[in-house]
Amino acid sequence: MKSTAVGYLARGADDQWRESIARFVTAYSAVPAGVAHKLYVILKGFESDRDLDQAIAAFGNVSLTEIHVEDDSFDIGAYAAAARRISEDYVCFFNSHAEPISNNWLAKLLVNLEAENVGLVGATASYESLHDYDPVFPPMPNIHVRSNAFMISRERFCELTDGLAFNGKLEAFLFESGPQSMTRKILSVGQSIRLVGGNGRGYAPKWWPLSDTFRLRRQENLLVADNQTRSFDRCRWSEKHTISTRTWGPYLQERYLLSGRPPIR
Amino acid sequence: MTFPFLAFAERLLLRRTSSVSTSTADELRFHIDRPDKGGLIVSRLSRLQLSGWVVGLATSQKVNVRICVRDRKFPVTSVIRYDVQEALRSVAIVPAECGFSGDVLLPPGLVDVTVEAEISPANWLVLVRRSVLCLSLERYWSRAKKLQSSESGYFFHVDRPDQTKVAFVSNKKMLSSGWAVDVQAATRTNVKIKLGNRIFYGDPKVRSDVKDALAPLCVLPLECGFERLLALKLGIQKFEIFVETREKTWRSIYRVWLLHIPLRRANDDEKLSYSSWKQIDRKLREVQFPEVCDHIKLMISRPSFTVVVQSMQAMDITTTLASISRQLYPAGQVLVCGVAAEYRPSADAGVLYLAEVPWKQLQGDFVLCLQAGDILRDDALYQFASLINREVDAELIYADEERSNGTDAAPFFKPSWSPDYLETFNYIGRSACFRVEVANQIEQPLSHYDFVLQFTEVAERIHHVDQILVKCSPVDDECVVEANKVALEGRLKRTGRRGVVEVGNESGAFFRVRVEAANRPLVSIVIPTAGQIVAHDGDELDLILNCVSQIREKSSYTNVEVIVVDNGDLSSHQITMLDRLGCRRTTFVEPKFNVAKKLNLGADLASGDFLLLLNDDIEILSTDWIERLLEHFEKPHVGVVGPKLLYRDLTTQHVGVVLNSGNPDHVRRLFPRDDEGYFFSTCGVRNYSAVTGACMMTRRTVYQAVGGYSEELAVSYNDTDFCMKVGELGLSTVYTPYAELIHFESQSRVAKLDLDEAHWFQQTWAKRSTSDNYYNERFLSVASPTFGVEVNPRLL
Repeated sequence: MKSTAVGYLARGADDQWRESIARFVTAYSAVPAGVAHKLYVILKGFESDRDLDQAIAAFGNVSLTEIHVEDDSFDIGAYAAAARRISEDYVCFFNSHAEPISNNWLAKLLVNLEAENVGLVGATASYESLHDYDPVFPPMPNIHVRSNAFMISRERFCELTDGLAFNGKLEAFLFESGPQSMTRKILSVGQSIRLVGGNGRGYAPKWWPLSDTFRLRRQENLLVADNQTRSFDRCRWSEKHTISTRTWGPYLQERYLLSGRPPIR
Repeated sequence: MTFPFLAFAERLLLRRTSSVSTSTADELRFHIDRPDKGGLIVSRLSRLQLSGWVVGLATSQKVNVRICVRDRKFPVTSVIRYDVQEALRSVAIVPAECGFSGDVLLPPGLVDVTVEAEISPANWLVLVRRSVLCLSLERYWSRAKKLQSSESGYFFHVDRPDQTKVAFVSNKKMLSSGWAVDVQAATRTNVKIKLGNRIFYGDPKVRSDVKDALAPLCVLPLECGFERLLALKLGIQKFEIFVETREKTWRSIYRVWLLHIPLRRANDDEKLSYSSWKQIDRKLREVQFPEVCDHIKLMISRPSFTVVVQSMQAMDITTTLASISRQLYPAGQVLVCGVAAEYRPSADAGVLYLAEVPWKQLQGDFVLCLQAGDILRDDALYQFASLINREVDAELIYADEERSNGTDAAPFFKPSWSPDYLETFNYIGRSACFRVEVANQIEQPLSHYDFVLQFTEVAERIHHVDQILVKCSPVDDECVVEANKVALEGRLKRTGRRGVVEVGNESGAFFRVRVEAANRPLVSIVIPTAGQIVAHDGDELDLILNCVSQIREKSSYTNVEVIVVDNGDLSSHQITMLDRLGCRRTTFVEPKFNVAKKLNLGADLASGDFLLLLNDDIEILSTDWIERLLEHFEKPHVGVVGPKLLYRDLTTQHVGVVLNSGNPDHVRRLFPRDDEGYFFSTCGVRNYSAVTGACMMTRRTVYQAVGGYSEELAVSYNDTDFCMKVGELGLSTVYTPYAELIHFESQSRVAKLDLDEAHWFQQTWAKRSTSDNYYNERFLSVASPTFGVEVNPRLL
């Protein structure tokens, strides 16, 4: 049986780091992961040792291993650095704002990742594109697994991030949803990706708009929540409509989804 | 802290935008999304839409934007742009409302359009200047819309349509509206609409703006507007509006040629019929079957389903068994109960035949109780199993269903868990699975309805799947009506209520539970009033005196106190009469109208255990209306109860409130008094998100627990907000048709919308109003919510 690591990113430079850690710890303690794993807390950006100590203390009795990284390379850079310092076969990364909300969340991610020819699974995913800001980003539907909570072979992740520098937000965005994104690199070698819902189903990209997850209906089928999903919940209905449309475009309509124009891999 | 790499990222991210330095050193970033082409813009329309975003990097404040065409300034509306906020997060803290959108009207010919930002108070900076060549002559054709008058004292205006000569209409239906008054007679004038050879008359419409505007000339009735929804024929037709003069002649005031050509966009789901939608849905599900099968293999939790099929001797069970055998997620056990050997199909491997359902000895994790003839959708068990994987402790999961009435099958889009609706009829039905552990605890049921009633008295975790998973065969009503009645009587006993169960209609398809209250608590009736005297059937009606008199004379329930909250402007006659009628009075003294504060003021004086909030423009139809409201509070889970309100013509005004796109709306307005509704939604007790504040009853302790009415909502939304707050306490809101009152509110009333209140309400209830728990906005009509089955575009 292959071993699994969970990497939680704790970033002291975030104003709300105490709340973020508390939220994660509460959820992590209350919601069973469903599979044995080792928890790594990736710590970066704390202004003082005191803050750092407080951050670690906030995990209470939760068994963890600390990984300290520089706060110079956004979330993906921190994941990349951490991945090189752990030894488990699979790694599931959570950003600072993420919290598991569905029972057996890690087991659900794992079984889908271990399914035949699957190279990457995520708890949220999107068709959204930054093409309007920079044409370098592929237009809608720009399928990509979001980096807030995803799981991948550690070795594979090291390959994907090898030689990459994440000095700016743009590089982080590009790694998430650019033309050479993590998602597209997995697809380019013939592997598939899955969005895993709270029900444990691994949704192929074509069916993501039907998943009731990220920015869809009541988001009732989310496996992992984060600041973006919580923000969507707090939006007024008209804002939700705008955001949902921006994220999923015309594919919200089942008829359009069925017609497959433009095609979604 | 500075980040040297930001300059590069910013340059790349914003390379399609322009940077402007201002005299105040505020640096602006902006982008014009529409129009997205540079150079000369050629427009065939006289209206141009512009949108984009502007942020001030230094101030992190929202930047005011306007659009100018020649000397004319057009305001814009703010647009939430999380994408911009996210993209610029590393550069600055950007407000989410940094987007803008606005329409401008273009004169024909070449004109400069500028987008301007307010860089300091009243100091506007031109961000973009675009030359637009407008080829439309529409604005030359349009005459200015002005108040039109004549020497004879007629004033009028046509709001819609607003074109002259020719108007193009793509929708099949067109709303015509406006207003017309006779200031000499201080009356509204009748309006006739001629469309081709057809004649229509305008329905009265409340126009407080017109009444206020013409107040210096005369006192007009509130209903001085008109409107009429017209169905158009294909092609061109003449449209003409006439007003009726004092001499009873018709005078033409407006005419236009309407050109109706129905347009259909390629992906317009609005036009989908329910049957077309079913085909698409079926195809969509079928192409997902391979992935669904993968999911089944990988499920962490693999619940076992026992499917019980009950049958009378001669009923055909083959179709039901076939649908069970086709399940993607296989049933663990299939029990067929009540079928004699000669009626058993030959190919029935894996089916166990029993004389009776083995209640208390059921096996597996969940049980489905079907009837012979029911057809499970191929993925029905999968959908249940999928939800169980998400909600591991679910005890009851029910889904939507099609209910067959012989040849027809009516889709039943069910509400979320509705304990009070369940006492009207078995709305949970057979499209449901029940946790065996709970099912084995209950007494042997007399009928399926009895089973559901008993089960839900124990179960706490009840979920609804909004998909049609079972096509249900018709029930032999005669066999089960009596059993169902007995089941409800059992429910009354188990829940400690005294009362009787009556069959609701001839077919016994629904029931009425009439409960005798255990005691007769004091009910405090709180009535806010403006002391208005209105014209009513050619006479004058003093609303508050009429209302209190009705309470005193027409109510069989007498343990009430009446608290009148006035504005300090009641006449001495009104005060004397209210005193004689035994009312307590208090005066709302604040200068600004706020009905929420008035109600809270009245509620503070109340000494009863129950509050009945009541408008003063009410007349009573059911003498036992208070008892019928009160009876629901014998159930501890009930928080608010509202009655059926009728217009003066006895059509429905209020039979429940739902949220459509986050906004409250009355269901099934203007239907006949004896309307049955959608699966007994009007003729039976039902749960809703809210009931109207025109008449609602609640416990005083509940009212206090939620802080009464929210005083931020001075005029609108406060009743729905109250019900939502009560819902947060885990208490339900109930509509009852057995308390009937007349509400004088105009049938053509147009609610005054206060945008601040709308915003407050929508923001406060953002999460709960994503979709209404008691009304399926996707497959039931939304404009207006009549429960008509129609396929609406998916918006979230």
